[in-house]
Amino acid sequence: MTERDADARPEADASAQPTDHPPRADGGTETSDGGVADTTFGTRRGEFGVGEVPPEYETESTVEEHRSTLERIVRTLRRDRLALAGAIFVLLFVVVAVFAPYVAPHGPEETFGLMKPPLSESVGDFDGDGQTETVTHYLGTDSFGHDLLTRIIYGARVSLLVALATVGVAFSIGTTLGIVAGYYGGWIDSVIMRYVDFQWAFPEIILGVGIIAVMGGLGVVNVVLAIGIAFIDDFARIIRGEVLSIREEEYITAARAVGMGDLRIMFKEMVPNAIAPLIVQATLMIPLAILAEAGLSFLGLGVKPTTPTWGLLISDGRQFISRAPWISVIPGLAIMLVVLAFNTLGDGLRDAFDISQSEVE
Amino acid sequence: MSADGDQAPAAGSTGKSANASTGDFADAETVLEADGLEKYFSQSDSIFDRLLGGGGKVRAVDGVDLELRTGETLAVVGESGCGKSTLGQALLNLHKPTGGAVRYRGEDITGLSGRDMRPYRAEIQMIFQDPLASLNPRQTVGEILTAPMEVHGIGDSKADRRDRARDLLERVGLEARHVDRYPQQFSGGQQQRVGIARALAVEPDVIVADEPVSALDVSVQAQILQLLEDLQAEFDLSLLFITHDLSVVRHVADRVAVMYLGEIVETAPTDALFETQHHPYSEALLSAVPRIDPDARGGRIVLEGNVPSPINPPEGCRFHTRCHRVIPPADWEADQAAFRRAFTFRNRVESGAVDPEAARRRLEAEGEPSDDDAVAAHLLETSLPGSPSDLPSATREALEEAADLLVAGDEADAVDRLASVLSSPCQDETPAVVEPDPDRTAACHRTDPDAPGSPPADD
Amino acid sequence: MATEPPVERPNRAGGRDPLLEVGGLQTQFPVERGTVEAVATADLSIEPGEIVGLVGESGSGKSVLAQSLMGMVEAPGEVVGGVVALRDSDLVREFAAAFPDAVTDVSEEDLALVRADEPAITSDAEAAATLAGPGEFVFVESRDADGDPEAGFVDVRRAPEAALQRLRGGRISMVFQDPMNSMNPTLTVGEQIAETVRLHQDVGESVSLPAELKRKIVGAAKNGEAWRRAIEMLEAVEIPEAEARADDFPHEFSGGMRQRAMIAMALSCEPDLLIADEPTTALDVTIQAQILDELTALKDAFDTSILLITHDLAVVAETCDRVNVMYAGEIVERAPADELFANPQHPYTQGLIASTPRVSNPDDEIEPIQGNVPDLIDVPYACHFAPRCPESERECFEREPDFREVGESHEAACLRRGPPGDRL
Repeated sequence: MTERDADARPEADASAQPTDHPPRADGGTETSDGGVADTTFGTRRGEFGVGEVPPEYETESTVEEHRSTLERIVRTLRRDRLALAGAIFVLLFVVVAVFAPYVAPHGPEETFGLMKPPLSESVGDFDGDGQTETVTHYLGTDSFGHDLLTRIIYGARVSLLVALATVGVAFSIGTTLGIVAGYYGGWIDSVIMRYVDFQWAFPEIILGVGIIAVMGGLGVVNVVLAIGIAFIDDFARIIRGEVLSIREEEYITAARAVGMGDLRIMFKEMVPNAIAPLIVQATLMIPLAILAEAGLSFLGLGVKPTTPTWGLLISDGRQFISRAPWISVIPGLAIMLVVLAFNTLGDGLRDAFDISQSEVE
Repeated sequence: MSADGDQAPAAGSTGKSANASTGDFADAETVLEADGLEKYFSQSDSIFDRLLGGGGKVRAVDGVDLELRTGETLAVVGESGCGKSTLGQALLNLHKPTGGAVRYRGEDITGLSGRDMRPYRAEIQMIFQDPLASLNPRQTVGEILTAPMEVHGIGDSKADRRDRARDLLERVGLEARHVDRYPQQFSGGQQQRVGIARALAVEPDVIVADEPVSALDVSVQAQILQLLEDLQAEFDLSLLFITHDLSVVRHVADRVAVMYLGEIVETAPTDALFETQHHPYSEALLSAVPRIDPDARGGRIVLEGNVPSPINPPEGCRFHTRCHRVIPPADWEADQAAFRRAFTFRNRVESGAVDPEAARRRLEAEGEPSDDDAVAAHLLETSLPGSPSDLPSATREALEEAADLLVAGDEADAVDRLASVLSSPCQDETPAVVEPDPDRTAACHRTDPDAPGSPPADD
Repeated sequence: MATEPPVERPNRAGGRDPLLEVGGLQTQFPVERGTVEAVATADLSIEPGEIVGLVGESGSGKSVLAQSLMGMVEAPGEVVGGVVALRDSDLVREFAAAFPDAVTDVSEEDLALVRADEPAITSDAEAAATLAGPGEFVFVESRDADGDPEAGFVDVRRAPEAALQRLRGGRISMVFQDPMNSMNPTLTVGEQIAETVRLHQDVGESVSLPAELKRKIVGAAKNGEAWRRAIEMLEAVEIPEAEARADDFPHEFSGGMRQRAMIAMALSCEPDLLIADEPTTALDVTIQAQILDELTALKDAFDTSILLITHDLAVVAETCDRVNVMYAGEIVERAPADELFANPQHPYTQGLIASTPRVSNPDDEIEPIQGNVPDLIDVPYACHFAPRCPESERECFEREPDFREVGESHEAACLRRGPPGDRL
């Protein structure tokens, strides 16, 4: 008999009585003498039998609410102000990226005065209607005369797209590899994990450069594949670790005992229990992907040079860093803020997914 | 059999109360059978160990013969580490046996792989010890119950399977509306009801229940035992009930198999076993169970020492290192108890537990003389239970010499010296499985009329 | 809590002063949905040299009660009321000297006044505790001619951490269910026992941090007094080849040996009270038998009282002198062991016994208690067992059950028991 030591743990569901043994029919009348020796349990019956409670003592079903993952996340964000700030900023970033044409003050290719500092104004006929306008550049303009705020807003689009696609690629390949490795073990595990170790030993950016070199040519798809493949190892490692521990759980033995096949066990029994750390990891990988894309663009290996991306903006501003530092610094700040926001959100999610933490109050 | 339960229970299958005392199951058909079943685990999987041949094998289940008969409850009882849970999982092919055979209704199912095993999984189901751990925390009870039906093609549609799940919940004493709850929202006893419902979902013939009530409180435990009994009668189930708890065995089982260190040492109908035990281990196990009624308390047999390691189990009868009835050699001149004590000394020396250096350090620390003679005397005093004075003189001399040899660092010679005077057929020969009474088996030299060394009369 | 006039407490019929007297103990855990009353109100007494059983199912609060006795309730749990009086004249003298600011003198007259004011209070300790000023926890009831304390008690509940550390492992020690978790895996068994000895007994070995570190790195001197005592203790709990085994690490011990070592450690400072929380639950039945025999023998050898906490009725029946039955945070029945099992009175105890399978009489059908242990969050009804009780009346839900005498030294907290006049 192994009794848990959590003696004070509130038992769930006091009200739901098992129904396989209904209360017996009234088996006895009240006895007023009732000798002390009457020890047979349950023979004398009182006004209220087993499971019967006077109406005023009826309590609401005290079942502990099952909290869905979403509810957990909302609770965590309500408590953790930093994570909430991160989430708001991430949301802002996504909205701006998606609605760039409506949010941005100008078109991405419109040119104004060159290298205007922040909060300066360009005066001239920019829309070709023959009249002179005054345009305020809140974040200045770059060396081609593009409005920096506009470029950053359009750059957010590319960055977000690249980051999401990259993490998607890494997530799906890495997760599959990791599950297979962890579930089957043995030589399959050895082969997959040696590959992962091999990849892990290379800095991601160098691996990305190598992959782009092999595939040849620039473009969004190549960048996504390059960075995505370079990120496989992180996901593979994490889920393999999860699967290794879940594999020992009794509900997996139970799943095998009812005759489930390997695929069903892997994807229906294991993945839902392993997904939380992966989602956290994904939020932490998105800023890394943004950085990697910026890095590749900075090196001239990213998307086409005319596409507005944060990395290219920094890269372009490099040669004017002493004359017009804002061209590089402001996109750099944007990257920093987004990375920070995703990181704080990821930390918050980690807490939200930690069942042990949120259920023991 | 039907999950709807509209069929009347088959006649004559009313559980233990009707059948146990009359031993009706002696002639019943065998539904699940283990034949010389073995499951060894290699201790380490690392390449180095395999290359070096190191890392012994844990003989968790070592040559088990067992048959489960239709409609009966067979309890496998033993202490932790005796291999009873591994036996259960090997029967279900959850651990691939390393030797022997498992047969279901005569068909060999030993080591069948996933797809080939699947049809049998619908016939042989399992209930686990820890109800919460055996239920996937991210699935609702409905999902948990319908998954086995999907795997085995039971039910016509999703809605039909869900209806069946609701029926199952009511069948095990829960409410149908609980179908969308998660396992964590139930109490321990209710979780175990869900585990039982899952086992019933595929309408099996056989259920292997591994300590199904051990994690539950007494009052809840009784509810679950009652439920199992009702369901067994209703569905004509054969139940293999794995447990460490003899009190529970007495209440649920028709027959009992007692397991020790990977082997079955005795099988018998429940009432017969509680009446008389043919194996000393069964006897000791039963005597150790605490009892509420003062009148029921008998002399408690306190076993020597601890259960030996299943990596390197004792030679001969595996119980001989702890057995209170170990058989002295034919020429033993004192009583059996004296032999037991001297034999314990031998076992301790052989297992390398006796450490002259530690003894010397201690004597020094206490300011006692710590020359070789004093250390040898100290070893004899601490490692031999009781006093050497009532041992036969030849034995006494051998013990003293062995202690001297140990102090001199000559462990191998000490072991040989002890072996020369303290030998037992229990150590030298593996006991055969005999049938001392109808429908009973035991593996003990004392029960075997053909065994070597006649048991002395003093017990 | 009792609202009836105090009854003569049969528990103290022996005339000896109890070693431990627990009165009105209340321990709560705040949770999101309210407050869990893990121990609602518990009264308990243990006399010197007694083995007292505390039996209950999971959720009964028995382990929390034990932790409350040691001042070891884990946050956010808190002991919010009651008194845990440890009575011993040496102890009172020692603590009066060590904590002079915490001493309060209580006289018989004071106590009489308190009792007159609050009839609900039945024990001396509980009455005395109402007189304590802030920070006072050493109660002196009488002094000898020199003015030294002669009789009195220390209230563990009010004691500050410094005092608790002195008590724990010294005057009160504890044995847990899982010895592996309560031993340090990086220290040898002998060293762990020696450390306890050094902490609580003056063996002339430093317990300062540098000395500790040196022992940990270089290894303890094997000729020290503390080490010798450790080996003796291992021998006392019948670990064979104790001097060799003392050098082993906990993982090299089997489960039974670890529990023996744990008991050796707990007894090494000859405590007045040993609290054993499910000491044999993790062990096999043959090993359990050895450990229970051991505990009984050691109780006499070391003149220690034992509080044995378990869920196993049979263990209690075989081992204990007196038994307290606990349900959902309340003690519901107490009696000498033989009396309790021959003549159980509280409906819960009756149900518990009826649901326990026994090896001896298989013909007795086991009868489950229906339902589950209630959620202990803000229980709205008076008797916590009422909803599962086959005999409950409306009044059971409305009126707190008081203890009634139902046999020789035998009380049950049930309105439907006791003298016919009082019975519902």
